Amino acid sequence: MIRKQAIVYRNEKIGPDIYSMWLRCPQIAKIAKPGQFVQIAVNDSYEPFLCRPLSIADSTNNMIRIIYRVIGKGTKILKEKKKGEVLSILGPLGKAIAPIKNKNIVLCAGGLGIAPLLYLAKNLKKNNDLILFYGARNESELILLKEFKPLCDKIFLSTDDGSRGKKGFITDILFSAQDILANAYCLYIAGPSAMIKKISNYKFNTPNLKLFGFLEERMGCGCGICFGCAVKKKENGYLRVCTDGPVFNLSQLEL
Amino acid sequence: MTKIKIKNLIFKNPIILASGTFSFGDKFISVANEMGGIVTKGITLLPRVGNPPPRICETPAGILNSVGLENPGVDKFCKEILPRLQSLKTNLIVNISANSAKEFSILAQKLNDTNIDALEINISCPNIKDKDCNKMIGQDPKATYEAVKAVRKQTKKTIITKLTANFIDPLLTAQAANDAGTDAICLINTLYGLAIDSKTGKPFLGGITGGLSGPAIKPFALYCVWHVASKVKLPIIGCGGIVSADDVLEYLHAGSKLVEVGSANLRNPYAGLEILKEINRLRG
Repeated sequence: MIRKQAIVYRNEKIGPDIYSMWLRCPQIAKIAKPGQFVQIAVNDSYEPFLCRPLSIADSTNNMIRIIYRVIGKGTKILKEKKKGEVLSILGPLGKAIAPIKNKNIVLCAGGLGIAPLLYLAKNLKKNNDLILFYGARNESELILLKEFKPLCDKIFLSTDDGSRGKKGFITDILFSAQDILANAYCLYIAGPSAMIKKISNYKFNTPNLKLFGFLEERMGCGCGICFGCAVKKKENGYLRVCTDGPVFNLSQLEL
Repeated sequence: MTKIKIKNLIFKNPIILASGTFSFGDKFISVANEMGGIVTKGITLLPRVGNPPPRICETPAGILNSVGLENPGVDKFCKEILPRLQSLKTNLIVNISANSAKEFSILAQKLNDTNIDALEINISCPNIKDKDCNKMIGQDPKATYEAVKAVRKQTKKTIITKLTANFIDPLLTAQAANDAGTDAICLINTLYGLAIDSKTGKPFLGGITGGLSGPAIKPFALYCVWHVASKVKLPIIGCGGIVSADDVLEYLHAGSKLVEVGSANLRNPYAGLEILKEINRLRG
């Protein structure tokens, strides 16, 4: 993990209040792995005080990509960044997802949870078969579809308002796809905490299916020194999202 | 840079990394080694799992935390963590936290046989209350005296007492700590704070209330240092919202001998190092 100055290469709107930013930072990009994230200082002042933890949505030799929704003061500042501006970033942070070979892998995304799954899908594609379940509020919030199309054998979509795909929650489509889950090695889930909890607590008919969740929690340092981002273990005590995760085998957690 | 001495302990520069903001001193060792000292996460007699999440809430120019002293307990600390800290090239200060003088005494006794450099007595954590007076030990001069005295009896190591300014004049507890034999005081620990979710009306933090830190509290912390420094002849370690070399200099002018950098480490784990470089540059 290193702290470096990253140069904004692109920062564009890709959905309602949703932005995609490419940052040139070769030292971090070269070693970034799926499942990891970066801490971004959105400015040099101390308001906002903390960095923004954002998952790595893609990475090349020189650049990393982050995707964010503008919701608070940090992301409001971030969306104004122009090409050539400089941001301090710390990364890559968190545990990398270990490579997998010759498996059927299911990805399930809710909303912006799709972002970290992109980098994962790109890495898994070569050696595995991928199926994506992806739900969002409406059609305009279903982002990155063009990029997922060549990576996945099948894509199931849902929207809350029915403007694209099936109307309803993506979890309902996932739970009814027993034939797919029966052949799957594992399921990667990224999205709202309620969705991850729902899937984690669901009684699957496939006891060997491994469930991995991309967790989010209010974070302080992002690098294991403040003990701020706790997630409850099945047995007594907590794990840290920043250094023990952010991707967890859900069987070890009490959600 | 001029070395600073507290009791027999020499600090190569005035910057110490504050408790709770730099793990146990086992991470970013290259940063820790350049500092005057590093204070470990608070250690208690028995293990503590800490508070439920969320534990962190960002506030204007600051942070509210309710981590809740998550730590493995003193025995596991001595057995498993301390051996990993032997290569540190800086003063290792262990922050100890307890809810009675008796517990402080046991903690000090257990740590006295180790090769740590100093103890920081934490009588000011918003997460721990005294068993008898049902408030922080640091909110009661008599309880403060008893706690510091209990540690003093067990060790000849340098003792720093970390004070609070929550609903108590720290001058009173500074004097009590002085009478009980502390070698230095650290001013101030986090301030009481509360965050409420305006939509649900419920407290935001899992631990309900928290401790406020960061630049938001700096003017008040600086005031506390100045207030106590003019009346108590004890070395003071200033703490509260330091993010720059200018902040450090302000604390030194207010009467601190040393400073602790805390919340800034959460924004940037290299903050201590960057502040130190800037001080060296300013001082030529």
